[in-house]
Amino acid sequence: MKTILTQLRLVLLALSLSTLSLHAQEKFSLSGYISDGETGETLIGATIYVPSLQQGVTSNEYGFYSLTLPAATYEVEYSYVGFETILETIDLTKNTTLSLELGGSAQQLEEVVVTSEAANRNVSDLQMSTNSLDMTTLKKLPALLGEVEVLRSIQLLPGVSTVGEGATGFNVRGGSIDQNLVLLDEAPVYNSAHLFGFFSVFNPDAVKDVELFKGGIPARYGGRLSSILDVRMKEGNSKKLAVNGGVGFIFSRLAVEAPIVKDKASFIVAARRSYIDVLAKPFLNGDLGETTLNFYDLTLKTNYKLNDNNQFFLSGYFGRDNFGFGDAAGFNWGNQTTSLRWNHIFSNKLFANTTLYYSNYDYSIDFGDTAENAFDWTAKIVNTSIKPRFTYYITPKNILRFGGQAIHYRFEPANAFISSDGETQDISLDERFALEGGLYVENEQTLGKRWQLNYGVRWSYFSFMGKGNAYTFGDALAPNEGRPLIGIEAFGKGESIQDFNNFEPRAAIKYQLSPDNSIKASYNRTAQYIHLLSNTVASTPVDIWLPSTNNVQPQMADQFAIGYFQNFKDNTYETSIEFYYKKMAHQIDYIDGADLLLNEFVEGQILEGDGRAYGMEVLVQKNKGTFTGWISYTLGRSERLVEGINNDEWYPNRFDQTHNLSLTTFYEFTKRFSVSAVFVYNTGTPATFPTSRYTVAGYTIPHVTDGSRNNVRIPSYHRLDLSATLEGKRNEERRWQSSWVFSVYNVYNRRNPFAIYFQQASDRIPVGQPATTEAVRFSVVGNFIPSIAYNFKF
Amino acid sequence: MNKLLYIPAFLLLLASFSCEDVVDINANFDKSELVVDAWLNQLDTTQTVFLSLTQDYFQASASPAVTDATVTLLNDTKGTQIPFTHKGNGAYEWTPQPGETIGEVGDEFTLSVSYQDWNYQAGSQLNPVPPIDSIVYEVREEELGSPAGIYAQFYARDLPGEGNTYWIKTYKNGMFLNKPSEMNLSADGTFDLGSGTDAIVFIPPIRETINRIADADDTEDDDTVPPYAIGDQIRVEIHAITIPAFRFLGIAREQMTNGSNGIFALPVANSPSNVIGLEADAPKALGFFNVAMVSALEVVVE
Repeated sequence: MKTILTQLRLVLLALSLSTLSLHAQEKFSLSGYISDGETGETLIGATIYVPSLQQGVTSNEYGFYSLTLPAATYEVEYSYVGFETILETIDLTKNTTLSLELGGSAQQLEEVVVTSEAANRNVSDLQMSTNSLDMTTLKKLPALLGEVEVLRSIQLLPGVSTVGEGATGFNVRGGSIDQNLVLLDEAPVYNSAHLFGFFSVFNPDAVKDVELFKGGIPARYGGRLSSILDVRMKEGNSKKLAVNGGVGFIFSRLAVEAPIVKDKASFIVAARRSYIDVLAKPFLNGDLGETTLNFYDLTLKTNYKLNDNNQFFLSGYFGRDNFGFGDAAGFNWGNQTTSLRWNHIFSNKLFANTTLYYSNYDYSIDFGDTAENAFDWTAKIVNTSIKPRFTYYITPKNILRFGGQAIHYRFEPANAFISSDGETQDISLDERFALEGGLYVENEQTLGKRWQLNYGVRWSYFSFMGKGNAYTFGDALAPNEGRPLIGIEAFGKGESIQDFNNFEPRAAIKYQLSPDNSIKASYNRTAQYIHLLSNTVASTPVDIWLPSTNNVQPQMADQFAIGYFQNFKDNTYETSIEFYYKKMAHQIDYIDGADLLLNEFVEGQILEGDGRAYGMEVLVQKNKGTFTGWISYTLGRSERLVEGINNDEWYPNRFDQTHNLSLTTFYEFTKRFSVSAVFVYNTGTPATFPTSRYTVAGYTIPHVTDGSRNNVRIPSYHRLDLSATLEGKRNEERRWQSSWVFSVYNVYNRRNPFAIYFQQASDRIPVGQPATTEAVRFSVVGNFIPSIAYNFKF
Repeated sequence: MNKLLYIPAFLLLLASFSCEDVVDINANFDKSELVVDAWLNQLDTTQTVFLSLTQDYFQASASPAVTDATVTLLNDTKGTQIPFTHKGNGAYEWTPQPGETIGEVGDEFTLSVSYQDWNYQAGSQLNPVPPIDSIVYEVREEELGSPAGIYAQFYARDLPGEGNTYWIKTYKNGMFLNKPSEMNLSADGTFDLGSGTDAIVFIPPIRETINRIADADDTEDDDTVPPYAIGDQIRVEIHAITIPAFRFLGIAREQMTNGSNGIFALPVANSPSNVIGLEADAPKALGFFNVAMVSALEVVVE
C-alpha cells in the first residue's frame, strides 16, 4: 500500500512538473494528416515516432497527428502496418505542418491481417479492453451465405457473445444488447440488424474501421453501460474512380467511390438489396406469391477539404427491411442516420471535431385489407445531437481531450389506430421527450518510459421533460405483479419532469515492463439513460426504447479491468489476458406476462434490479506469415438480482455463457488462393425448464415447482465454418479484379439448439383425455449452408 | 399486444434453415402440489371444482385426483353457502335447483378447500358479460396457406369502461376447441389490457379465433380441411373473467405456445394462482378459481 502511495505522489509530482516544463524551453509543433497514397483515405492509428527521443503519437480517428517537441532537427518515422515506413528529416524551428501519404500502389506491401495497428500497439497502447478489426480481415472470414458481416465477426472476439443465431445485437462482457452504443460515423444506430439478426446494417464496402471498446472506456464516450462500437466509414477514394461489388445468394452490393475535386473532395455511395422474395416467388403458391421479404440499404458519404485547417464530412445511412403479405399485412423497419462533421485545426496543437447528427429508427405494422377492419401502428425514436470534441496535443507526453454533447430525444412509441367493424379508435401513446447532456475532460499522460495514464471524468445529465404526462404508480400487490397507476400529472413543453445527473470517473493506467510486455488496468463508471424494453429471448424490431423517467432510474455500471499484454517473436504473436468485474445497478426486468407494447403505463410493468458480470478474456493472435489467425477465449458469468424473480436470488442472464471459445485461422496457399476456417464453441445459455404439469380449465400447463428462473443450461453450441477465396488472375494491364468466395457454414451439420421448448404434442386431444407433453429442441440453422459469392472491383 | 409478434413472414424465412427435434429431458420433478381447477359460472348447469395434483412434466397420464378434500363456496354478497360434494375422480359438484343461480353480477365469492391439514381460499367476482350479437360464416378462397372453405366469426361488443376481460370458448358440434393455440382471450375487445380501447366490437383476430386451428404436422387436424362444413354446429361462449384470471390464462397460453415464437420466446413463468393457503406454512397450491357470467350463441352452418 505504501509503495502505491509513494508511486501516486511521484505521479502527482511529475504531473505538476510536466505542466511547468512547458515553459522551460521553446517548443514547436509538427502536425498534419496521414493518408493512404493510393486511395487518399486517411489512416487511423498510424505511428509518428521520433527514435532519438523515443517518443511518438498515433494519428487520431481523422488521421490527424500533432507532436510538440523542443526546437531541433529530428528524424521522424511515419509508419502504418502494411505500408513502407517513411523517414523524414524535420528541422523543427517553427510550427510545421506535414501531411503525408503513405504507400501508393508501388510501395504497398502485402496486406497483413488481424489488425491495422502498429506492430506492438496492443502492448504499448494505454487503451485496454479494445479490439479493432479491419476490413481486409473481415473479408477473409467464412461468412453465412457468403456475406461479409461486421457484427457477426466481432462475436469472434473475446468478451463478445450472442444469445443465439439470428438474434439481433450482441452482448459485451455480460451486458444486455441495449448497453452497446453502436455508432456509424458518430451517429447512433438503434437497430443494427437486417433480417432480424442475420445481417447487420454495415455495408462492408463502405466501412473503413471498426473499433470496439469493452472496458476502460475513455471519458469522451458516454451514454451506454457496456460498450462502444465505433464504426467509421470510408471517405471515398480521392485519387481515382473505384468500384466494388459482389453478387451473393442473399443480396448484391455495389459501391462507387471517386474524387469530386482531386485531393479536395470525394464521395462514396454503397448500396445493397436482398432478393430472397424474388428468388422465392416461383416456389410460393397462390396468395403467398404476393409475399414481400427484402431489405436494402444505402450508405453515402462525401467530404470536402476547404483548406488545410477545415474539412467537412457528410455521411448518411438509409436502410429498411420489408415484410408483407399482399394487402393483408405489412411490417417494415429501418434506420436513417445523417452526420455532418467539421474538422477544424485551431493550431498545430489543437484539433477539433464537431459532429451534428440526426438519427431515426422507425417501424410500422399494419393488418387488414379493408378500412372497416384494420390495424395500423407506427413508432419511432428520433434524436438530434451536437458533439464538439477538442484534442489538445500539449506535448507528446500529454494529450488533453475535452468536449461535450447534447442530445434531444423524441420517442414516439405508437401512433396507432384500430378499426373494428367500421369503427376506428385511436390507441396512440403519448410522445415523450428528453434531453441528454455530457461534458468531459480527460488527460492522457506518459510518465517516464514506463508509465502511461489516462484519467478523466464525464458529467452526464438527463432530463425527462414535457410535453407529456408523469405517471405515479402504487405498490404492487405481489413483487411480480404490475404496479397500479395512482396519479397523472401533466407537464408543459420543455418542462422538466425528472432530472438526473452523474459524475462518471474514468481512469486507465499502463506499466510497460519491456517493449514486449505491459500491464494495464482501468476503471470506468458509465451511466445509461435510455432503455430498450424487450422481454423476448432475441430482441424484436418492434421493441420500444424508453427514457429514464420518474419511475425508471438510469442504469449505472462500475467496471474494473486488469490485463497483461505480451508479444513474442518480433510481434509475430500478440497475446493478452484480461480480467474484468462489472457491477450494474437499475437493470431492467419485467413482471411475468408483461404487456410492453402499446401500453401507455408500461412503466408499471418494469422491475429493477442489480447486475454483475465478471470474467477472464484471453486472446492469442498470429499476425505474420502465410498462416495467421487468432484464438479467443472468454470465461465469464453474467447475473442479475431482481425482487420478485427467482425467489429473490441471483440468476444467470439468458445470454450468460460460461465458456466461449473461437478459433479463426487463415492460410494463404498462393497469392491467388487462400482458405480460412472458424470454429466456435460456447456453453449453452441458461433456460428455465418446467418440472411439472397440471390440468386447469382443460389445458395442460407447465410449472416450475420452486419458481426458479434460468435453472438449466441448454446443450453447448459448436460450429465449424470454412471458406476458400480464389482471386482472379492479376493483370497489370487490366483494372478489373475479381474473386470467388466459396464457403460452408456449419460444416459438420450440427443442429445447435437456440432453445428448448416445452409443449403439448400438437395433436388435438379429446376433451378430458391427458395430453402428451414433450421437449423440443429448436435450431435456427439445422443444416450446413454452402454458398458462393462473386466479388469484383475496378 | 404480444400476439402481434407472431409474424408469419419471419417463420417462412426461418423455415428454410431451422428445424425442431423432440429431445429427451429429465424434468427433475420432485413433489406433487395441490391444483384447484374451479371455473364456475351463472348458467344452470352442474358446476364442478376439480382437485388434483401436479405430476412430472413428461407424465402423459391423467393428473392424480384429490378425492378426500372438502370444498365449499360462499357467496359473500348474499351470504349463501353453496355445497360442493365429491362425485368421484376429484370432481366436486353442485347442481343448481330449477330457478337457482350461483349469484348476480357484482357478487363476491370465496371458495374454500380443506385438504389434508391445510385450508385454502380463493376469491372471485361475478363480472358482467356482453351478449353475442351474431355468429356469421362465409366461404373463403385459399389465403395465406389456409384452405378454401367455410370460416366463421362472432360479433360482440366490449362493455363500456376499461379493464373488461373475457375468455371466449368455442364448441364445434359440442366439442370444445381445446388446443392451447385456440385459447381466445380478450381485454377490452383487443389482446391486452393497457391498449386503451373501449366498447369496441371485438377485433378481427379475436372474432376469428373461433375457427379450429390446424397444424401441418397434425394427424387429426389436417390443414387442407377448412374449419367448418355445412351441418356443423358452432357454439360460442363469452366468459366474463376477472383480470387476475385473464392474467393466469394469458401466461398459461404464452407458456403452452412459446415454441411457436421461435427466437422471440418469452421468459418461462408460472401462471399466478389466486389460491392462498390460510396457514403460514401451508404448501403452495396452484390453479385458479373464477366465477364468470356467460353469454352464448349457437348456429348451425347451412
